Amino acid sequence: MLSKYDLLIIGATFTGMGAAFAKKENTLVVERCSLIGYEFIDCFNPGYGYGCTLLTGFAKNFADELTAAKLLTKEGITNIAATAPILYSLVKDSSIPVMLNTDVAEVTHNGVEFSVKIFNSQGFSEIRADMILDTRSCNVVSKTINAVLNSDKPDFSCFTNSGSVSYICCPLTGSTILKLCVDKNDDFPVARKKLHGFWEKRKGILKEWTISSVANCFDYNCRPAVSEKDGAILLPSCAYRNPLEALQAGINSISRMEK
Amino acid sequence: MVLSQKINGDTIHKKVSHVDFSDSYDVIVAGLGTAGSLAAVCSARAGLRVAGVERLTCMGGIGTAGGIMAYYFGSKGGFYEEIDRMSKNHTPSVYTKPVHMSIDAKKYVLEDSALGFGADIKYESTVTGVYFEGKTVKGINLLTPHGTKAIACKVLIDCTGDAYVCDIAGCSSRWGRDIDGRTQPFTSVRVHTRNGIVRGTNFDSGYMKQCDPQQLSSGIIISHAAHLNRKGDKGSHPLYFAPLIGVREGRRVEGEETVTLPEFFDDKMTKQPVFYAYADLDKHGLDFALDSEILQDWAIASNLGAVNISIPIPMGSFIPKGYDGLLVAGRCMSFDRDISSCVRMMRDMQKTGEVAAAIADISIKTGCALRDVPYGDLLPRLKETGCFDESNNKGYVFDIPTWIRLKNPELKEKKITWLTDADAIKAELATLTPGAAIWSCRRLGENIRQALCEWLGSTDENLRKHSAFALALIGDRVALPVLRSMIRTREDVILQDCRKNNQMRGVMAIYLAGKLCDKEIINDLIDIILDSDGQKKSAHTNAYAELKHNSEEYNNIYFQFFSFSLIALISIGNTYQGLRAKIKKAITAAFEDERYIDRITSKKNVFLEYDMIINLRKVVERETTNW
Repeated sequence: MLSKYDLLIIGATFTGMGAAFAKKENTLVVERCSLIGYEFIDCFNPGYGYGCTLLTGFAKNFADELTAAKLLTKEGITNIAATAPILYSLVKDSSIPVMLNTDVAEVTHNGVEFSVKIFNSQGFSEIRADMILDTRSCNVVSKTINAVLNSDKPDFSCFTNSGSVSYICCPLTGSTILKLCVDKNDDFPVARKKLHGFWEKRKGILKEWTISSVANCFDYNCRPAVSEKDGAILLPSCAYRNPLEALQAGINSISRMEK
Repeated sequence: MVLSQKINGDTIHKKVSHVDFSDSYDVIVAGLGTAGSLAAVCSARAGLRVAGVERLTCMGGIGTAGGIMAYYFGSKGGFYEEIDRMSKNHTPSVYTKPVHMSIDAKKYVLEDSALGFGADIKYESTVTGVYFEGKTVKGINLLTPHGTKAIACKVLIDCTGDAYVCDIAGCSSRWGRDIDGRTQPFTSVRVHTRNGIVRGTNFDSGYMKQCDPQQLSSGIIISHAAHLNRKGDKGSHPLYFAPLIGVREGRRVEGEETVTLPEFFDDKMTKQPVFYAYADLDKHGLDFALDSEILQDWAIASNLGAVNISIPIPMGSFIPKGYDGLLVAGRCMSFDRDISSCVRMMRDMQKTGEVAAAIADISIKTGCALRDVPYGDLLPRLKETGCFDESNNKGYVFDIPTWIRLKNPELKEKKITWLTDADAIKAELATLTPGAAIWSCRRLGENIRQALCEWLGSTDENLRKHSAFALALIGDRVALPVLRSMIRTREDVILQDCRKNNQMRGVMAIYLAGKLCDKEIINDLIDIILDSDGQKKSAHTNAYAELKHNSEEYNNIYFQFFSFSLIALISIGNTYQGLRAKIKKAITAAFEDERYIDRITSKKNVFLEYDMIINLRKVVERETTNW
């Protein structure tokens, strides 16, 4: 690991990885959890609004691989969870340094460059960078806790969206994604309890469906916040409609920087 | 007060005149994993004011976030069973039926229990510093999503798996096996559904040092990526990669007492156990040749690697040596490396959390130092929940994991009683299951030597060869001619004591010839490591089962012969300086290009089989550089 980078990317999100693939040289990605692309993959958010973005570079490669694996159609990604090994494989084959399980403790700017205090199993250390691209969630408008539902006899006709609940049916896998709106300030225990209580009280044919997995991270609805301060760019990946758009946004951010 | 922190990998102690603690707890539990979840729940249940700190967004550790849904041995009894019972109440009413335990039901129940007993949970947070007065912990610095704060506590319980908090605090610790510092292989778990049931798929991914951020990051990415090329279960639908990578071994803190395998085998264990751990010395990976001598005496020379043992765990193994206000629970407790491979199963790790909570509670309520908590006060509390149960002391057992038992209900566990009678030993040595008899001879030592020497001349092949193993194990060189003949014929007969990892007689003979530093066998061992055929003849034709690791892509038979010969040669060279040049020349030739890898496997980087071979080269370099 160097102590000085041209670009420090915070968050191994789709936007973060798109930018990292486009920049590569003298770039470091730091991520507090141990996953990549979690803001779509691990919160079970398949996205929407596909086909509206011109894909280039890594975003195009990724889309091609998904198409070849029959995971991407004109309607969008058919099984978001199945995309993970493809994403990790592409990251593995790249030369991008990604530092997982690493917290950002403090960011300061001295007028010339950024100084970032990070913390991981080696304790605190300092990284200096000319530019910072922060792709973590911010400017949160609302959030949901998502879960995958399964049934022995999948009948998708029982799902009706209401104010705080929406469903995405996935006939290919026989499952349904449940999105339950929670308060912006709800932490995981509160949100998990709400989800548990909501599903425990379900009625009728919904009882055929059980929760096979609760997402490990929230699905945030963010305002796309492109703000700059001393060269720090905020580009929350979850603000984009789908993973491909988020990847491309990362790639485009590098083009803008290079201009 | 002193603030202890890690900066650029070094522990730094800094004097601080005044600390503004924003809050104060009786107990802070760092890491809400397998041990930490129970530590937090049980401390709060005892009426203490508790904060649980966790990097992830759930409790439960490897059994929830790690995607490992089934128990592999461990002892029954303890408050974890209550948690498991409550979790089962929510399937399949809310959560999908699992094969064993529902990840999400358990996450929910753990959280609900901790909060219900009044604990505070601090997710996405990490301990970054520890405050001391003298050697007594007074509080921590906590990095949260909302910034850093200082929090005071009476007892800090390190349940981080790799003792990261003890490391920050500067406690002394150990890491990995002696020969090369490697820990057990790690695993990436992919959680999926099939036929309406939630399951996990995983495989051993190779070696990494998870306390090195770069090794950890690339290890995670590579192991997740490796799932791409593996044939998925038909009809399975992926859910996610477990957000907690499956690490089996890491830092082990030096405690007031350390549980060691030699002491266990010599019956010198604590008389004041707080619980009994129960499993086999569960080795992952197939590089047995790199293990400690005592483990190889057990698993190779006696072929007892899969035998379960009950290990009494003392209170002192929870207390970092010389410290107060600090406890450690989980796999990073004070165990030697060999014992830690047994005392790491989820049931037992949950028990360590419960025990740590009880020690903390008594210390706080009576005002005594942690190390002075009376065993007489502790034991009744642990008996109450069943955490301590004398009936868990099962001794040595050929046992069967649940999933095998479910498929084969006719299989029964078999308790081992060490033999003392020469006739009984003779009868067992004459079978293909001589393991318990060989180990009995080790226990008897001089008392059985003469009989073994007589049997060495027997016309019964099994009795003769297995008597040679027993004699070599007690250090008698009279065994060497019989061992040499097994090496020269590259005997690939596999003994049948265990349900896994049974050993080939040729390999057992190489290990023991190396242990006895037999100069006369050098040329034969050199032939093996330079064998251009890689023992092809027998690679795929062995008549016995237990060769699941052997495939067209990986020749385990040759790997075993190769690795054991190499280590035996190094050991002989270490003893006889005059032979070093000859041995080094042969080893250098064996490793001069990549052909030795091709003789063993066609798999490449990412796979354990490849990693094991690469490890050998590193061991050779380390061991022979100074010859």
